[in-house]
Amino acid sequence: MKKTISAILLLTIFSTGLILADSDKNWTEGFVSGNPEIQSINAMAFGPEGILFIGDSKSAGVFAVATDDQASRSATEAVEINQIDKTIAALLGTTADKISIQDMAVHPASQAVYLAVHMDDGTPVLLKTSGKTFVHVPLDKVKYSKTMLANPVSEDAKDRGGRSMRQWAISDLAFYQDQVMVSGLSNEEFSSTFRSIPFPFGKDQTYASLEIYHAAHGKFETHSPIKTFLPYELNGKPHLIASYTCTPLVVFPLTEIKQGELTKGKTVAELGSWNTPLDIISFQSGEKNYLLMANSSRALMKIDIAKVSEYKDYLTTPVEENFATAGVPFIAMPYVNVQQLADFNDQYIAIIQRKANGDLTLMTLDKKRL
Amino acid sequence: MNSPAIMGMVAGFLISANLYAQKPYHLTGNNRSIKIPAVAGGATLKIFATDSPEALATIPPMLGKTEERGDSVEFIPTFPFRNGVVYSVVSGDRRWFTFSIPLKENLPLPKLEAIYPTADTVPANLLKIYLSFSQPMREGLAMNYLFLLDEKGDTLPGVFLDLQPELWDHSGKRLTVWFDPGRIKRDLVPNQLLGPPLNAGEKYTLLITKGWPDVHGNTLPDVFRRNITVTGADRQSPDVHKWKISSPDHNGLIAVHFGENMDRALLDHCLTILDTNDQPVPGKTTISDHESVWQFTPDQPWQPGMYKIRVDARLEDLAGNNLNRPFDRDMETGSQRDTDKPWFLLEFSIPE
Repeated sequence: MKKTISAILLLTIFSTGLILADSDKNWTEGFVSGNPEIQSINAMAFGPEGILFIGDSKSAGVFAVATDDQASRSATEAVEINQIDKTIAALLGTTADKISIQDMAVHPASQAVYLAVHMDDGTPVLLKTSGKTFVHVPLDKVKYSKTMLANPVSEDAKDRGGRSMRQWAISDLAFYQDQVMVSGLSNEEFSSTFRSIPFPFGKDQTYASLEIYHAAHGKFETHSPIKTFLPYELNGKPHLIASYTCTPLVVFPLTEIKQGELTKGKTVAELGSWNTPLDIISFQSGEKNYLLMANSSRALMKIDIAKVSEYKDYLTTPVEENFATAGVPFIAMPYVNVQQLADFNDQYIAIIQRKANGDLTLMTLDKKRL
Repeated sequence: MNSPAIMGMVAGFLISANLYAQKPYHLTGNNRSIKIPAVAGGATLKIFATDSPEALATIPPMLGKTEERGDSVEFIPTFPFRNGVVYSVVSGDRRWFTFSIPLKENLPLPKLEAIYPTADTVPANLLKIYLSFSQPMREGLAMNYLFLLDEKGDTLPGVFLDLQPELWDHSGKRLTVWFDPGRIKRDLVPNQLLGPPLNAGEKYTLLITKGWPDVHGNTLPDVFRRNITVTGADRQSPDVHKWKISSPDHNGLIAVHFGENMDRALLDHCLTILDTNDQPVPGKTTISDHESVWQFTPDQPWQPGMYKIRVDARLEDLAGNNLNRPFDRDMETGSQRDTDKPWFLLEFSIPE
């Protein structure tokens, strides 16, 4: 029943969202000052007016935090900072093996690169670039609003501290057409959940939640979880381009969600084995638009979005034995071990890459040369 | 360490310091603050998270603030000093001394308390395992300590999904690990090229090596091995109508026998007993027989009448088949149709 209501809501949200986008909204409506008590930062994205959306799996919430960065640098200035893990660890008073970078986002005005870092005890830290180093962005006194993702289920198993053992781990987050979109993985059931939350966050906390599944070669269907996704307009309609934990790249239209039904995505590619997609962004180079995907064990992949738009098949034919991938063609870029991707500005994208010498480097790549 | 060491004890925290100065200084502090004699550089001092003089030039100082307190300077780090890390106190180009806060002693070492499924026989399309620890563990390191070995003892690569962030529960004690779903799901490229992670009829060893650190830096002291034998793939949704419900024993305990082993985590909250008014019956649950039996003892004695067991459709067996649909459904044979129910109901009666 809940699913039916959600699907109807989603239809409404998307149709109105299309009309209302870029209207004169008061984006900081409902913001309060104080400590949002963010417990983890698993995914980040910037929205309008430099509002940073933070997906927090531990508290099962999405936070919208106001930042007041001003434009501070020339748009043509490239960035390269080496050994960022050692630098960040030193700032935090620890060693590089005891921190992990969770996500990266670029402030649209200042072009400061924001990094979410977890320390070994789980403490989340937000940092941003300042010249060749990083400064701490405190989150204890900010203007923010929040929305909780999960209604506590009273029947859930609790640990000895009384906390639910069931967790909805946020795998990706984006802001698109006045919606905060969040994908998540459960640490218990194997399913795909995608949520779209109207922003500014309302008091009623209503949001659309739907399940998405995909097929392999028209034969086997799976409700596999989404690892990373990108909202994108294909053929004039808003779509979600999603990469799953089990390799397929799947596209589905956000406008064709039927009432009370599960949504089946169109599988447009399989991008290789022994590989987990890490991040996906789009960028424009010349007249063409491309997808760029970072992977756990494959090189950076570039895909011509026009080919995704044109792709009609559902990967209906079995893949030849000697092919490692299938579907829309991609170009493997000469960048391996890329862990994070973000659109930087009109000229650059930003990446975090583990170099062959072991250095973890934050750098910009010129879109024209990609 | 040949340098003379001094020790200071304040508020129960032990600080050890190695001097590079002529006379000993008294250091007091804890993880959140340290007081340093003002002679060691005054308010201009900086603290670096390294004991290597060479590294001082390559890393920035630790974030924090200094406050002058008469004959000493207090440094308050933005993030607490970490136990076991060596810090250098530097003023200008002079390194005065290093100090460290020892690893917390008296903390128990972490233990691997359980691996689920507990059975040594699993289906070829086993989807996930749970590792349950006694302490919150450090996240992001599972693939360094968890291995699957074949019968010859060779490590099999690419078996588990290297998911970052890892799927820990809120307490940081229970980790969910998936076998690579791209290899389990039929007809995906990894499945076609590499086959499934587990093959029916073969034996494997699940190996958890020692050294896995908890959040305090203490590490798993022992190696853990579980031998597993693999049977055929399970491609059927659990069928609630085939389950058997036993009558209450002298303690009022009833048991639901699934006829197959189920996902341990989901069993904790997918079954609820409802009374004649559809209200949940309070009681205690236990799981037994390798997660194939769910047992329930009510807090109050059973009253005669009809009861229902409400089973959440999210409940999965070991292969990720839930009550509504199998993990991957063969759309051509169509042998099993998906349902879309939030839960399934089973009835039983308590006689007069």
